[in-house]
Parts: sequence; C-alpha cells; structure tokens
Amino acid sequence: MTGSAILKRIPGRWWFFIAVVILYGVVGLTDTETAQLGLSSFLSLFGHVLPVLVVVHVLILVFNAFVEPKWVARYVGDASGFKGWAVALVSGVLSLGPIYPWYALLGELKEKGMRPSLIAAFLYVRAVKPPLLPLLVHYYGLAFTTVLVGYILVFAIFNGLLTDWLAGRLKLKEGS
Amino acid sequence: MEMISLIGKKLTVSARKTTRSFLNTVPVLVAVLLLSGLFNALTLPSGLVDVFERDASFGPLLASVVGSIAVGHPITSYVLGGELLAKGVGLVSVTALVVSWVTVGVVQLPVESAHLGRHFAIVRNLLAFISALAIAYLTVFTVVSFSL
Repeated sequence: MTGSAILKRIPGRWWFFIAVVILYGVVGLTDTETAQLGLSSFLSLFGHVLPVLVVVHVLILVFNAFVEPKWVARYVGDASGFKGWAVALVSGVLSLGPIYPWYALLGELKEKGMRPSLIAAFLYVRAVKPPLLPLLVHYYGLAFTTVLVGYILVFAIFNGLLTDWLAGRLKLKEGS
Repeated sequence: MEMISLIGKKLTVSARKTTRSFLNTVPVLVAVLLLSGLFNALTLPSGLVDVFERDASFGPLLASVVGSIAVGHPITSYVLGGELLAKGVGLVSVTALVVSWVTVGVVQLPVESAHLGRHFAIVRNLLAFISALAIAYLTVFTVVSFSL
C-alpha cells in the first residue's frame, strides 16, 4: 500500500486530533508556558469528563441492550406530545456533569427515535443547574435568577422547535 | 436459563456497539478538550475584563461571542460576571456572557456534530447564540420594568 493510500484510510476524526497536536507543538515551540498551562487545563477538564463519560457509556450499553425503539417513541418520540417535552426539560435540568458524554447518549436515543426538538431542548435547558442556583442568587439576586430561569425554560422549547424545523429544511435542501 | 442466555447475548452485542462508539468518540473528544485547555490558557478572566472595558459599546454582542467560545465550569462564568459587574460592565452584557457560556458550544461543535449531525449542531448553536442575546435583554428589561 502506498503512503497516500494509507493517509486516505485515516478517518477524519484522527486528522482533527493530529491537527490539534500539531497546534500544541507550534504553541509549545513559540510559547512554552501557554502550552504547559493548556495541557494542565486539559488534564483538569479530562479529569472532570472521564467519570461522566464512563457512567454515560454504561447507560448507553444498557439502553442499546434493553431499551426498545417503541419505548423511546412513546416517551420522547414523535407522538410523545407534552409528556416528551416534560421528560426532556426535567432530564435536561437534572443532567449533571460535562456536556460531552451526553452527546453520545442523545445520539443513541436519536437513532432509536427521539425527536430532534427534544434533544435541542434538553441541551438548552442544561443551562439551569439546580446545585448552582444559590450561587447565581448570591451574585445576581433572587428576582434576576427567577426571571432568567423562566426565560431559559421558555427559550428551550422555542429553540427546540426551531432547531428541528430549520435543521430538517437544511437537510432536505442539501438532499434535493 | 434461556432468559439469561438471551440477556447475555444482548449485552455482548450492545457492549461491542458501545465500545466502537466510545473509541470513535475518543480522538475528537481529546482534541476538543486539548483545544479547550489552550483556549483557557490564552484567555484568563483578568484578560477578559480588559476586553470588556475597552469595547463597552459592543458589550452584549462581545459577551455572547466570548461566552460561546469559552469552555469551563459555569461557576467561572458567574464569578467572572460578578467581577465584570463590579468593574461597571452592564448587566445585559454580563447576562449574555453567563447564558451563552452554558448554552453555546463553539469548541464542542465537532463532538456535537459527530453524534447529532452537522446541520443540527450548527443550527442549534446559532439559535442558542441569538437566544442568549434575547434572554439577556428580556431578563434585564423584565427585572428593571417590574422593579423586581
């Protein structure tokens, strides 16, 4: 196999990784301190992500094995109605930890029939973090926090519907 | 006995699929976290305060852009917001920063696209960006108008 054939077989995700490593190499050569700070920040972020990543992949394993698409359709599928929105909003607020592992779980649920609008709402409403609300109240006051949380919930639904509609139209346009 | 064998079979198939999904995620995830680390190293909170003080007229828009690119724990955005407020930066700008910090993920876009699709990820983040600005104005307007 020739060199170029080998390079073509490398998936895009690895090229992205290689590009970032090269970027670090360049930053390291020009500004060692920034590269070191970046690496230590990366390690700290990775330390936060790893436990949630493991938990979410265990959840995915269980979902893949035992959750039938018809169950997903009933609770968060096209015909889930108000129940679907309630499930998405409540689970979004309660979903703790870094966002990265949740993408994988939502991707699996999407494959099994979860509505894109509910996925967008889930991701948006993660902005409301119950354990951090006292801190938000401390900095900005109770009235501000209450109004802000109210608007985030309303915009989560609005964004969910609009994202589904616009992304669907873009996809159709690209397909035609 | 047959039931246990069926469960074992389902778990084996699922484990294979989950492992493949996990391994596909790792290079993009590590690359995104490396980028996030570099971004954190380049934009220290004190540096951001300087930027907002310099460009106060574009405050809310600038705050949304910074919040969209920023990565890190939401606590950082609350503390940074408090610091900005104390330095005289407007509440609309601070709100836009706090909201976009947790709802828009420019750096996370490759991971989101990989799992949920490119169109979905781009549209969702664009709408979240616009919404962060709208929420910032609406929240401050509501609080001030009703003297809450």
